[in-house]
Amino acid sequence: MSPTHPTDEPLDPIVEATIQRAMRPYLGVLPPAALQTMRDTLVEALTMHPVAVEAVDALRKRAAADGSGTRVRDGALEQEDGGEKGVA
Amino acid sequence: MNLEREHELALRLAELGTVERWARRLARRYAGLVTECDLISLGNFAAADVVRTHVDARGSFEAYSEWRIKRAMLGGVRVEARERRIDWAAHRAQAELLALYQGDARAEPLDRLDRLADAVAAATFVAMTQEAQRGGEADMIAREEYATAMEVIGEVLAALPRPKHKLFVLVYCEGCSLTEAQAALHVHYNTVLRWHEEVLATVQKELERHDVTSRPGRGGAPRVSVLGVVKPSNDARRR
Repeated sequence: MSPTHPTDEPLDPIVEATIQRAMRPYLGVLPPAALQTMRDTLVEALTMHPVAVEAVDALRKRAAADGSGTRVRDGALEQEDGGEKGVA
Repeated sequence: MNLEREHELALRLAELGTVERWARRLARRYAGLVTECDLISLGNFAAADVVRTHVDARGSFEAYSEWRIKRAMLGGVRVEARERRIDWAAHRAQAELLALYQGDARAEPLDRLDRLADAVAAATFVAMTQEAQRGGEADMIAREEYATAMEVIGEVLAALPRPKHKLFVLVYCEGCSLTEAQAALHVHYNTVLRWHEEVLATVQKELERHDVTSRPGRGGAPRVSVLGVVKPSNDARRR
């Protein structure tokens, strides 16, 4: 099955980190195909739902104002340092 | 809601291109199971419903329409293979959740994002595990056998002489008893009995010839009483 990423563009690091955090409890529980499905549904939700889009915008603005690049989450993906990559 | 408002929402939906976008994406995801054209039809029906049923209290029109339309289109995808059914169940659960999801506007942006992601992950996890438990490989085999049985019965019926065909329809489609069928067919009761036995014997023989030797599970399909001619499976499926 092809993934359904809306634009096939690289994901915003904030979205990527959020997906990794949300999927962590299910790693090793679900088979790879199901993890890929979960990831696809999360990508859609976090890039298309207005609640997520607004939250990501706010976080981006905050990060820019802080001069912290994309570092918005302690212990999660940090763009500048090449943090952990996608789960599936 | 008034017509002017519905018209305005319909225009907004057309501008957003929601129906076409989801049709394209789902046709690609479920290639071979549904066409883009069918998805557009389903999406258009859903769009009409969305502009009629949306109220502001349900959250933004964009979110409501986006996920309601996706959910409606998923209803047209005929998924049989287990892995695809699991994927389909996850997407359906996600669309159902997101159509009415509003989140807590007072929460911090990171919390809002995390809560949304957690909700989607949990909803899809539950949907996938439920779907995975609902059948499995045996269920898929049963569905295939069921489809074969339907095909065989269709072929047998098509080859029957007209009066026997009518008997079959009266008994198995219209639920008549053999006595009622006899009255409708204007033949002797013994003739009805003999025809009935002959038809069932032909069906059974053809089913066996196609390797359907146990009564297949329906997998959600309609019950067909003529399948009573084959013995209940009792988990004694060959393969």
